[in-house]
Amino acid sequence: MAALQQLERDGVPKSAITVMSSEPLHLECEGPKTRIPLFGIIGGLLGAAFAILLTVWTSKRVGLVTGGMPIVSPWAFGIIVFELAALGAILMTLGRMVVEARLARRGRGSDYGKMVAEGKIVIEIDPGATKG
Amino acid sequence: MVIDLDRCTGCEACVVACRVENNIPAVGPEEAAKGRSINWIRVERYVEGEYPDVKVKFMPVLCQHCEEAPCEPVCPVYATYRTDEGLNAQVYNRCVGTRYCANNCPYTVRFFNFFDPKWDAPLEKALNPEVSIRPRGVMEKCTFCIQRIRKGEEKAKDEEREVRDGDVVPACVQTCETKAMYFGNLADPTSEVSKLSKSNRAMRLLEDLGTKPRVIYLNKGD
Amino acid sequence: MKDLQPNSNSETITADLLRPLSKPGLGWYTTVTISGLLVLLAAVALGYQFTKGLGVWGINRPVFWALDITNFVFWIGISHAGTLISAILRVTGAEWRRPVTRCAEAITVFALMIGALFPIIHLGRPQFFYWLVPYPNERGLWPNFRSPLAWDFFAINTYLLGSIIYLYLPLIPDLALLRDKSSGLFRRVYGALCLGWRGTQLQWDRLERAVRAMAVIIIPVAVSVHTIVSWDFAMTIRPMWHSTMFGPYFVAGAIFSGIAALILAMAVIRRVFHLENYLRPVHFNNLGLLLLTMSLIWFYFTFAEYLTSWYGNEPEEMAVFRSKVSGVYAPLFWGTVVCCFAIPAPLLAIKRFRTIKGTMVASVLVVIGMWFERFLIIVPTLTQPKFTFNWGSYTPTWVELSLTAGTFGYFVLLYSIFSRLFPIIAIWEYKEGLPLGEHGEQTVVGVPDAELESV
Repeated sequence: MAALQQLERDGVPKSAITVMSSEPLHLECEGPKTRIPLFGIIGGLLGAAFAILLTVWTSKRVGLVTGGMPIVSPWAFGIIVFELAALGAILMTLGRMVVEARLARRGRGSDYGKMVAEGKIVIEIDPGATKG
Repeated sequence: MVIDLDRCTGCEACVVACRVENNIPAVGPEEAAKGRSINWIRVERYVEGEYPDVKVKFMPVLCQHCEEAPCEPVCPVYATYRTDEGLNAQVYNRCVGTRYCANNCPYTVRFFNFFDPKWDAPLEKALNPEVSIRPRGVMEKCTFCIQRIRKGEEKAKDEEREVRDGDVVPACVQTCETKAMYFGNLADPTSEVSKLSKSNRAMRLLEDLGTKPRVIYLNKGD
Repeated sequence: MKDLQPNSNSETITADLLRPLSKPGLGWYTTVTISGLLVLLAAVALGYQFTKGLGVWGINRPVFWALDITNFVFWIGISHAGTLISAILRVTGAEWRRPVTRCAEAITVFALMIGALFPIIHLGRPQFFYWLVPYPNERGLWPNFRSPLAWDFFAINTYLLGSIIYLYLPLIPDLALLRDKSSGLFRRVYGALCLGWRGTQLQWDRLERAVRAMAVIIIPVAVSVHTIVSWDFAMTIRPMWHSTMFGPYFVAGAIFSGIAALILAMAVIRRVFHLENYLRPVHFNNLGLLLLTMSLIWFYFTFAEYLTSWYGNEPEEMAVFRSKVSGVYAPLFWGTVVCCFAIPAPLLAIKRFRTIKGTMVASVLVVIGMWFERFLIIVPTLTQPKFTFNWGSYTPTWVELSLTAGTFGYFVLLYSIFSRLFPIIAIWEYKEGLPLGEHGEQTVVGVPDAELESV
């Protein structure tokens, strides 16, 4: 965008510029790489591990025979493992997104909310970062 | 258990005895018309042929206490399972009433309490104190008179011996007029049921389903 | 590909899409009143049932499940609309999805909430439903994970949580918008819900990534949920239940009924909230094509299921088959075929009829047809157990019918309230899809004071 290019020419470092808008602008973002997919996978593995522990341990504990099926029934427990893996992935994805997008922080309200809500694009420059 | 179909006359004394022994509620004529009457043992009646060559077959059907019971794995709360003695147990206070077990039983031997059971006065005085009353919302079925099995076991323990053939007699077996029913330990080769099960008239219901029922029927079928 | 609208600058769009929240119109009030009354009726029926017992239903021996499980399967099926459609369209990058996604996601959440009620209220002892939750207790008892009902518990809860999160994530920027445009209590609540969203490009990037990740995760979850629900039947040994095809059959049927529900919801929203510029004929056309596809797929599965039964000529299967095709349930069965295939398929296939009205008619028929289809899967099999001595029949009572009507009322009520509190079309997502020239935005450069840091 023209205004951003102007700022760059003026020597303002990219790290001091924040662009806020009411819809995603898809500017080139050189920021840190996201780890959301990685955490999603980790969440899935955690969920799966928990499900395996839960089903195997509890069915051994209860130890009742039902319908001649084995006490530990891998195919049946596999279904529970799948579901809890998905749940783990979902929760971790949400959590990591909140962390990476720096949401849910205390006392940080948006000063420019009204302008952004009207459809304007706000560019905010941090004077502290421009010095040195 | 062994049931001799060639001796069964269809008198249904077993049905009555079971009700009395196990505190089975009478649901009333309206409910029975809707198909909700509870009969842990029932005598199925099949009429074949045209007059005068009519044949009526009687088949008492009760819980078969299958070795691989299809009702057991589908219960989400473990209210039904196979005990060490080989019975299919129904735990009334664990049952939440999903009725899944009833849907999966091929013998249709499971019953549900649609309403609270009630006995008009003075019938409540005839209730058997050794058998719990099932509240509404709970599944029930034949237990092979588990209360009598326990009694027989306790007696044997008191007398410091093994349970003998004939110690335990469920209500239906006890009442059968024509002595068509036998009960005992199939694992004991000397028991009467064990010997009868080897008869060439012996058959089991719905064997090809693989449920491995423990009730043997003797049927020559002519 | 997109119809360009003449008057679509950013402010107008926001105003149009936020208007339902403040000025809903008479249609909204009428809808809420009627659906509220239906919910009240269901609540009375439910109270009666809890006091007297399940005997007030029409279920009996051998038909132990009937309308309760019909409604359960039906509503879980409807829930496949939203998340699946929204997720698949997002993953494939279909641009026309933009005004449709939130309508769809809301359907999923509410249909799931309703469907999930039935495993509780159909219990003989519903006060103990929590025994299906694995929690440590002094009796050392745990749920039986081999039971398909236990699988249901996990699947439905995962899907419910997933759908709520999947609805919530793209809602965050709109919540921020609402926060900035309101005051007082609303401002505080919207503000808390949007987690302090500022609209920085980093936040946008992370949000869109998370939504994409969620879309990818939720698709297998949605497929698994209705598969597991179908396995409540397929894992038994009853004739015409014990079918290996039930998983895909039910998922296809679910998506089918779900799309129909989506079309209906969109058509109503469009009319009641005057969103004609946003929910345009192209959307109904595309969804109509999807509905047609699903109708053909449903027919294919049904045909395969019935042909296999008939050809095999197994006596017990044939008994159930006959009761459906030529016996007591024949009118319902053939009615279902007409409602799900014979009328909708040609209606949707001919472009002239694939209008908003045309797709609405098809969708109403599909929703009705699919409800009866669920009924026909459950009840005829149960009426005919193995020993003919035990064959029975089923008639619903006013309690079950009231509960059924109440579910529709409850769904409409929840949806109506949702559309009053949140914009039913995702404003940012809609704007994102418009070409840049349409926006007419202005830029403001601000130099903040020293307390603020950059993100």
